[in-house]
Amino acid sequence: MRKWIIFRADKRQPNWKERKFQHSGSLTNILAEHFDSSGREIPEPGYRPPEFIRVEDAIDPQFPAAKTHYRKSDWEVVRVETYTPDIPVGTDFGMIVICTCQYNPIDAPLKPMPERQISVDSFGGDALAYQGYLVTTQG
Amino acid sequence: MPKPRYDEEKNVSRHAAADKDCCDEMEAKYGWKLLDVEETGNSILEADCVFEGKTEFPRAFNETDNDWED
Repeated sequence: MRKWIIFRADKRQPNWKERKFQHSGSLTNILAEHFDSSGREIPEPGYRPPEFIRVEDAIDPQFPAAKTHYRKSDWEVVRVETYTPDIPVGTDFGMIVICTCQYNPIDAPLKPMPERQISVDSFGGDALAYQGYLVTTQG
Repeated sequence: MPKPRYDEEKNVSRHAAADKDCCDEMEAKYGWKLLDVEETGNSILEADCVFEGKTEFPRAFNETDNDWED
């Protein structure tokens, strides 16, 4: 069952003017979203979704806009609500999970992002595109 | 669908992708948990897909545990 997990800021949290949809500029309480087909347990209060950070000194010139590090974020889940479809057949998601968060800053250590894996799935299963990429980059 | 296998000690895995939809497809196809999708600035692999845990592709029918040791 695929789950859509949405992290949203609780009422009266700081810096509300900084939380915007980039494409529209509209203000939002949404902090992050996860998509989960793993069958793992849903988040519980106390969970902190990770945040991803770009450290200038660690940038890979081949991927100049990519994030370089990650850590536990300053947002902590305080409530969890779940919603399931009336008829769970033919739906994109078997469950929607809304995790309400409060700002509770911590000094979490930065961890470097792992190596980037590249496979035929990086090209949507297009084997020719994958082979072409390998020839271009290794040739 | 084959069961995914995870190493919980590995916090995240990163896969490059041509676009965001490739990330969604990997998540659904392999039973992974997608934490983030980011732009990369690369002209071919324009997105990074970040998954929870150590992602592993399903093993083929003739693979053994030895095939998966680092």
